[in-house]
Amino acid sequence: MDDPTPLKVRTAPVKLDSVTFDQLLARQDPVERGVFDLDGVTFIAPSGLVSLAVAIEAACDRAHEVVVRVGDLALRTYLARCGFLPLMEPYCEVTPDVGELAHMYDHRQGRNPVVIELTRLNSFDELPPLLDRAIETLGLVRANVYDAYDVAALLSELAGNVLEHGGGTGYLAMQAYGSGKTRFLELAIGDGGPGIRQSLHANPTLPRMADDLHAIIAAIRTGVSSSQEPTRGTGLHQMLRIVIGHGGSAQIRTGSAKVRWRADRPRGFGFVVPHLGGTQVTFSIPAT
Amino acid sequence: MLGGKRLWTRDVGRSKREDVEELLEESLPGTVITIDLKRVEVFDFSFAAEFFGRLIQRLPSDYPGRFIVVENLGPWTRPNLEASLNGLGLTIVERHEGRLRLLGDVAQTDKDTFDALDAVGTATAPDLADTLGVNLTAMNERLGKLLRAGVIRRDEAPGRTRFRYSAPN
Repeated sequence: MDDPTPLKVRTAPVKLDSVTFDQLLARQDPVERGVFDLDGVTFIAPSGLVSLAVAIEAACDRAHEVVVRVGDLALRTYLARCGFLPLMEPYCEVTPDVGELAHMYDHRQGRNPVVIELTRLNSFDELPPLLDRAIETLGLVRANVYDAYDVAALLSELAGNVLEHGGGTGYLAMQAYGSGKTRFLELAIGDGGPGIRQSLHANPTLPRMADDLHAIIAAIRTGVSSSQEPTRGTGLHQMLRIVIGHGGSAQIRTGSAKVRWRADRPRGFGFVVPHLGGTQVTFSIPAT
Repeated sequence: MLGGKRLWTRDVGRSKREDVEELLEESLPGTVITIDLKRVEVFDFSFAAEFFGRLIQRLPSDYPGRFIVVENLGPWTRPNLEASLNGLGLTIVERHEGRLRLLGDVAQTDKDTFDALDAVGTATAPDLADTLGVNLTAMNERLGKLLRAGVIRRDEAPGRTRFRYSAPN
């Protein structure tokens, strides 16, 4: 006998992060459709939060009324606690209706010792208190204060890239996970701006990049920058030096390409991915 | 003393660099400007590039004969300033426990030459060639490199030897 129940194909991964977000883009085409179906997702990493925020804004730019389906109550609660719901309220409707949940945790923003909630970056003036908070947060996760300085310096560098090259606004989020020897920290920062390739094309001394993948590979070399000033273009190189030195991993995604680096594969490996405007950077380091 | 414990962004680097450049504008050849990082805990690489990088890069051409010396680098600031300078291909003089040494993109031969010059304060190329056991051509090349990096100075000398070289002191 035929089963009348229509087969529901889940198009969202269980965990939304820098790897699986591209699966969601490929399966749902949410930026064009204006619908982000997170039914089935039970966990979102900082990289997933930042990419989602960037993609939602991109969908809004296409004059969509954007809908984000979040079937899991625990996930809806998490999205409230991590700052996503209040921050993205102007850009999307979350279903089922979250009602008062959206602002239930507003009073706790900035107080979680192992989290920096999804934060919108708007100006350089916002950086110093944000970086101070990052150092405090990291100080609770890693015993060595110099490791906290490393991460804060990278965060400052990447935030500066967003504000200067990424269209002037972007998002960041950070969280520590695990316990003991498996404890690690993930930080994600991204924008929906012109992307690395277009940014580098502003420098007439650089060759035209064939594609986004070549643009990423060029951008991590010292001296490669949208500016012709000789002291520019070292931030991404220093990021990889520090992250790999800590035994961590990093990913740079821009347009239709991303490159991942790990401590055991420091030369990196590249992927072609569904297009998402702007640049999103994620790195994770062990917290011990 | 470089003000501020945590130094973020290129704009802050530019502002502090301009303060130092005002001092350089008013200084005479031979002046040593010391940048004390005792209170500095951390900086980002945009700050380092804008402050240290552009300052050092301009020194030999815009302020010949003046020196920049950095001191009181800490466990975080020292390796990361060195990494920043390495990435930019630049070198700075560091004062550490009373002695001068080179930091950044610098070969061992450059360090040896600088150390030998710093030990005596001022010398000619033939003197240093003898001291280090290298031929005069090689020594002139080494000194030229250090001169272009802005970490030593050269003055006219009387007699057959045209120039005397000096380290910051």
